[in-house]
Amino acid sequence: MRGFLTAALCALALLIGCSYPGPPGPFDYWAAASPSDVVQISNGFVCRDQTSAPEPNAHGTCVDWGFIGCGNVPATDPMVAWDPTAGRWWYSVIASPLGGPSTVCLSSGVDPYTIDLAFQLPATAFGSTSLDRPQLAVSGNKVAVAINDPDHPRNPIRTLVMNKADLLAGVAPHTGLIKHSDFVTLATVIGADNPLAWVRPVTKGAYIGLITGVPGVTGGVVTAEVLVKGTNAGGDPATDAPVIVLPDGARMQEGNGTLVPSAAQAVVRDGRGAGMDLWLLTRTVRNGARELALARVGGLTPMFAPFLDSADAIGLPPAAAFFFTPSLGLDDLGNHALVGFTGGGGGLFPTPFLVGKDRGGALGATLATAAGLPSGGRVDYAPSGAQFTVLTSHFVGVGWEGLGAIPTTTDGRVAVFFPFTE
Amino acid sequence: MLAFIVLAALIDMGDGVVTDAPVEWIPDDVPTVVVPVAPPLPTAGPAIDPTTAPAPQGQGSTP
Repeated sequence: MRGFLTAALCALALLIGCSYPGPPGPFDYWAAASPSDVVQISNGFVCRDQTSAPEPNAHGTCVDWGFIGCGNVPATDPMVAWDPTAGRWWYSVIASPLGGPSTVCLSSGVDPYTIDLAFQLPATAFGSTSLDRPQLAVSGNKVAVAINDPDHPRNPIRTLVMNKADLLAGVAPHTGLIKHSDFVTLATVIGADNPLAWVRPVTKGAYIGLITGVPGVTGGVVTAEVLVKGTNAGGDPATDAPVIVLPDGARMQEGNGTLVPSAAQAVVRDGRGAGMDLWLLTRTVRNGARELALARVGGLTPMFAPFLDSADAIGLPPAAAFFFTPSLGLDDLGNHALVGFTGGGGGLFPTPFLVGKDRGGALGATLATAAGLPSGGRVDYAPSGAQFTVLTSHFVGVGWEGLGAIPTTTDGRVAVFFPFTE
Repeated sequence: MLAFIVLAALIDMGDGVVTDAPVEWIPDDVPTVVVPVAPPLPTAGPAIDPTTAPAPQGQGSTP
């Protein structure tokens, strides 16, 4: 469907909602979608929007987020994932202040507000003394939590892989630990296939890693990390650390300056027996120009011979100087990719944008979906997702980080969802 | 705990040999690291309007 993201974006392509506010913060947002619900979380709320009743100006029903801590309260950095195999929601949080255990808990069914299993993941499970910013990924037979180690330069990641059947049985799971050499991003998994994947963008492209085995079942997890050239537009994604002055003079910074979590987003898709593919979005700089590189990598399974199927570069919108919080969504058939980001600079208040691409087609137009927001502060995370993409353009005031109380966020979130096709 | 290095395969991408990278994998055959949280587990509270209610306890985090 060429022109997927053109003027009729909301009316034609999206069943649930477009450009509507999400839950207020405090910041650190994530979201996931099942065939019947969209769950958005922040460090304050868990909001459930049942898609049977689309409300383009609502965030659904919200409750206090404390229950997803599953005894690990106070907590921070919440994540949520829908598990189509088990028909349940997975949550992860990390203790606050940092250094305590991470927790993974599991809904008892399709209701995201009912929890019946929880597991504590101590820092020692990651071979670390301090944990930060967990990433959560769920496949057909594994659950993985990847965590920064802030004690190490450039935040190398440790990924703890857990046997999902053990978790579902409520017993201590067989586990395995992957010690990465640098920052990696776990890919969101669409569908029920078994492998998990991670990406590690570098100047030449991106390393794609695959986790195929099951701890405690196959005698170990087969991992490999293979460089696929050309998936990155050419720059070093770890060096792009925007701190900009907005038109009103306020300074804006993303993610407290430790930007690798936003350097890449990835979604891996279950090809229903025809292998898997992976869509990768990387923030980069090429020839001095900032770009978002959108690539599709095929050949993930069964032989793991990844190849670059397509690559596109998204340029900055007019008046924007930086990309913030790149976000990637993918429909479950792998036909449409949707990129969200916030663009801003000295001539543009941070503004949410969207760009779409159809498989085999050209990039669509870059669309501004809401007016920019004058404020100081930082732009926060944006999740990658299956069947949806969410980007944030909200702000927390300059008083954050020990300079004052956490202010009320200015809610400028935009959420866009794909229709489910199964 | 047994630790070993798994090396990725070399793949020719057409524009040169693609290098591989070592990935360290540490299997843990003693499932005692991750532990179930004993019930009762907390339940979700009543519905609240986030546009008017103060934000519940929470804290933003660095990445």
